Amino acid sequence: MTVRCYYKIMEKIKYTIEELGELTGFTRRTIRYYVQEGLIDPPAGRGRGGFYYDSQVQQLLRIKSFQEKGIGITAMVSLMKKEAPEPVLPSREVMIRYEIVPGMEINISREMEIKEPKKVLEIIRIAKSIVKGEMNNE
Amino acid sequence: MNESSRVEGILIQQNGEAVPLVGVDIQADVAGRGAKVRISQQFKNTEKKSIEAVYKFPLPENAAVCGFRALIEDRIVEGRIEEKEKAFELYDKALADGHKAQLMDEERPNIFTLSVGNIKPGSSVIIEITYITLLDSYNAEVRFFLPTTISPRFTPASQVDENGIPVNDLVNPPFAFKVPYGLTINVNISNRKAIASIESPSHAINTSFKNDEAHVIFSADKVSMDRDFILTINYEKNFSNRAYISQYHDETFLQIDLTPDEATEVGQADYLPKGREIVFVLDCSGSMQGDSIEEAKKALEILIKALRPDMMFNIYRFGNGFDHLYQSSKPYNEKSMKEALKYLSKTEASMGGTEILPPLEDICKEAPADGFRRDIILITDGEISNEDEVMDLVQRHNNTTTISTVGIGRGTNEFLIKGVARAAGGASELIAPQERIEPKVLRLFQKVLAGRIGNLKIDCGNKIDQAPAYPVAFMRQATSIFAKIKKGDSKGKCVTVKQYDRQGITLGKWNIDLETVNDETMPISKLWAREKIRDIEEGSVTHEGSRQSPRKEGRKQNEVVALSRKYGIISRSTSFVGIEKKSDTEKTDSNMELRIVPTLVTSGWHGLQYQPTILYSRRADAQYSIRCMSDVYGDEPADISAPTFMRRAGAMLRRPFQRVAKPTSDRKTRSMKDDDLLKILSLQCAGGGFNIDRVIEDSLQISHSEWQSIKDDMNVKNHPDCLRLLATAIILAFLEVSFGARRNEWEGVVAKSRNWLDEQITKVSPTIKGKPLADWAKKFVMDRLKMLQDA
Repeated sequence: MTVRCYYKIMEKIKYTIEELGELTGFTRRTIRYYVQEGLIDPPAGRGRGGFYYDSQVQQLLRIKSFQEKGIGITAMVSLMKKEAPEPVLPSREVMIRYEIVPGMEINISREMEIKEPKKVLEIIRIAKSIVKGEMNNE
Repeated sequence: MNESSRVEGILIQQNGEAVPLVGVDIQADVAGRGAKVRISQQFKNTEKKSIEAVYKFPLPENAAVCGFRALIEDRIVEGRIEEKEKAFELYDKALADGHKAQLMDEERPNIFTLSVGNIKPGSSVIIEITYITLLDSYNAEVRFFLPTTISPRFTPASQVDENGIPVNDLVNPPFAFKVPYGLTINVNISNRKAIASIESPSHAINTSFKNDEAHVIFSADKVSMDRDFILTINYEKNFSNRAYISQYHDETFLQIDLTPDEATEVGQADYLPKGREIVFVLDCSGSMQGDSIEEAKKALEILIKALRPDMMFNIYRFGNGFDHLYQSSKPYNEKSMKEALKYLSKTEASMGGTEILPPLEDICKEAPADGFRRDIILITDGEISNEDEVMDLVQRHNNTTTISTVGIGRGTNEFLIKGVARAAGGASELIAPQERIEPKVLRLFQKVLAGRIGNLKIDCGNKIDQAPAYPVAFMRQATSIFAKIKKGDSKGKCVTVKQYDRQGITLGKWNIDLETVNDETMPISKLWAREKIRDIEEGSVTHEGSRQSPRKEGRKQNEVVALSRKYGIISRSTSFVGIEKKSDTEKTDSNMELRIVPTLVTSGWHGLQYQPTILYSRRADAQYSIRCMSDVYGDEPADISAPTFMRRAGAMLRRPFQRVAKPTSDRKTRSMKDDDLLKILSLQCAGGGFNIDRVIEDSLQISHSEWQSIKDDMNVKNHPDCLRLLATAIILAFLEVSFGARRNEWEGVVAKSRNWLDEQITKVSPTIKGKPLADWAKKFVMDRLKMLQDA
């Protein structure tokens, strides 16, 4: 990696709204409208005098590609909503592990442990006593 | 958090944001048919942060907007015309730099967006917009029209975004059920001696007189901006043909006002074909629910009964989709008339959105039958956003099909109604809810039947640039044609308007003396520029379809921008922008909150009703108020006496004055008489002629036995149509005697009955006691009415 590349990556390229317009072909008015409607991220810095970055360039180019396919803003928005699937959150469950004897364990869910603490303890005691008892019996 | 509720497909905002618009005031000066109007919109920032206020509002579609300025504290910032995107850049940049700026964009000829940036906390700004216009007129009646809110527009899914922005967001403001701002008005009408009456079918008004002017204000302190404001001024005399010449810098302009009427040299309709095909197209979309659809159905019923036996016709209904009475137009007769009335009675405003294009495309896809010319009569509230597409379509077909439009509802899209008629060479009529619908619809129908007076050209001896390039005139309706003289001084003291047919043969000619006027008082240059811009924007000059090459589009736009800048008139390609540069210490943080001003939903839209206002008006120089609109709602009308200053000192009693001599009872009689006329007109048979009916029996007090005895005196008493002959002769005579002054409304409609009677007279020469039927009938009616009056 050359030193120049390094600096370019480190120093994020800023664009004024004029430059953004020139890069993407959208008018100033249209860019303002997209910011207003939340279709692109708002500029950083002081209100209207702020700067735009590559992320907004990418967003605008994406909108442009839709338009070139003949898809207008309203249709694009509903398409984007359909595209993004509902994120499936992995379900997490906490299990508590009780060792009865090495090689034998009982896993109780935390939920159950909180719900029926006495029962859980009783089950563990009985399990332990059975195993110990047998060992005694032997 | 935004709370919103859905109402019939539009989103009503009920957020807690402050509304920066505090009030709107209108100052209008009217002289004859010309009006100069100044609209003042007052904004105030009651929040703790700076705000940018954005407000969408309507104006009349043919207004020439020529002034824009901001009053900030004690300073005035004048706006100037710039190309549209350049104007936005200047505005936006000014705000980014902390200066104050204002911007006005034209989205449609009748929809504008105002942006006022950097209003500091606690401060106020007044925006003043000025426009000039010529008012619609018919005979001696002039209609001052001002829309106050934008009715929700239906945006078809197929409509392409404009510059990457959905059209819906360009033309529809956010709507609300309540807004904190109201409207005040002040209309000054000059030459009060020439005025016969002043009325408003939309609002309660107070009229007063001072010196040579009449002044009109609202009766209430301020009114809601939920409906069009309409002021009807009746002058004593009809408008005559006039021609004006004026200088603007080193250019010379002409304005010709032409009102064709029987008395003067009449132009012939430029193409009267043997066969007529009339297709009625009725808007049945959701926005027509309530009053609008009922009025439309009433209008259609009258038109169907007015059709002639040699015509073909069809009916289309549209909403999201469309349907029709017949697959293709059928001849008009008793049977098809009944089928049409049945189809009509089952009609409801339940067809969803407003897709006007598909039914029109379907009708136009086949040329009319050989020797037939097609007329489409479109009845709609016009609340769509793809006006350009519709106008393109009708223009493409305007050599086989003429379209005339009837706009109804409280917030009609004037641009669509008039624009479509212009593109198709047809007539248009706008009807406000409280206006009687039938006279205007009949008036339109007469224009359709009589045909248009088109292809008018000004001839003044010089080379000229005429706008509109292809004006179309109708009988009794004032049309204005403008011209810029290209080279040299104007050559004569008078000017000629000629009408040509397709082969270039002169069909009609009018010679009018030229009057010199001052461009300051009568800005003909601006009115010419407005028409020229319109011709280019609507493509009338080239008469080509919408398939323009991008280069041609570019050239068109450059021409519009040049005209707009030179004459200071806003256009679809230019905007007004005003900037007040602040010193560094005064500059504000460019962080401001955006506040979009909500507008009221048009009253009556989708059947939504507000509190019905008792509307009344005072006739100029009459002694009391008449035409109480509460008639419409069925309440007892209020009787109001006018103050003494309204009585003209020493004036001779004139006919209008006499007519209103007895307020309460006369009002009731008048409206009953109106109903009688319509009832009579609806008695026409499909083939012509009238049948005996209660209404004529009651009006003339003719008993059953009397009919019998008259019949016995007829030489044709055994003729199968004897009673019909008798009834027709009597009814036609009755119309002449009782409704002679309103001949315009019914003459064309009963023409078929007159023709039928004339035919029968030629065939069987009916007489009563030896006297020819028509003569006998006239005498009978006059004697009978006199007898009833004396009784």
